[in-house]
Amino acid sequence: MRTITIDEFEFAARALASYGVDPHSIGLFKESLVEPMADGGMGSLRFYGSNVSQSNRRMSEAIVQGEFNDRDGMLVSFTINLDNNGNLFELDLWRVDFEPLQRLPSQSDEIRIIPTHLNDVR
Amino acid sequence: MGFRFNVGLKHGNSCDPLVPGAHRQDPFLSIVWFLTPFICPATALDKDTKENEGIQGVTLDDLATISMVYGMGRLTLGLAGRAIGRITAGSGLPIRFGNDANQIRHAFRHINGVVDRTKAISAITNDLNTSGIVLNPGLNIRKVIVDGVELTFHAFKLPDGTINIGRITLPR
Repeated sequence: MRTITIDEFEFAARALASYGVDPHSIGLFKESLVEPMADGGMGSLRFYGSNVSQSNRRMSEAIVQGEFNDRDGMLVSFTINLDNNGNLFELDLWRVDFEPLQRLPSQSDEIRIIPTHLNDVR
Repeated sequence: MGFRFNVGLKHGNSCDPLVPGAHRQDPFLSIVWFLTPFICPATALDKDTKENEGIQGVTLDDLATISMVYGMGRLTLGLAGRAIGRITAGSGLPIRFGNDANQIRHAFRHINGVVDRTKAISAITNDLNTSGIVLNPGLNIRKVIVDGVELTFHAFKLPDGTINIGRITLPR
């Protein structure tokens, strides 16, 4: 477990802000503790809040989903997930060719937010 | 024979995927294309089958099941295609849930203990082999129902025709 990097924090905060969510309101801070997930280097993180029980944690919902292009142009899909108690749970990154992530976007306009209700029509 | 030799040089391994469309041009490749899922069960999903052995939740049985479904899909669609003179676009293409065991486990982590993984794989594979399915460029978000539970999955079709599945989730 480690502290979230500044790039990871700023990416997640930017994505949340694009969706109108205050990062602090769901427990995202520059000091947040995370565990990189075993996803083959695609960059997914599990969040561990200091007051969050780790037992029986499950994903409840994706409050933000979107996509961006990696340095080589490959599409990367992401979601920010809450657990069953409403706590920040995961930053899930999926580079669609399963290769390791090369970078996180540094500008807000590189992130394309997908409204969650479009799940049913895309 | 010359063409076989060229294929061998190009791929280096008889279980590697064929060049898309090549099977339509050569009777030998048609046989290889048809038999690949049966004789190379990991080809469509995970080249390193040894990594999958003994890893909880990702077994060779799963992969074999996917291959079987995938192979049966080819058989059905192949016969139907001959009967009606066409094969539905997107059918019979390799479907991958990850490049290695960790990525496969990662893709299925949200449904563990809730939905049988083998059934989920079967439902997703069947959905993608359904006649008339056309995957859009970019990310495709689709739903299947397994034992009464609605699963959402994300699919992306690569330029070579491979369909990657990267995120499978339960309803809220």
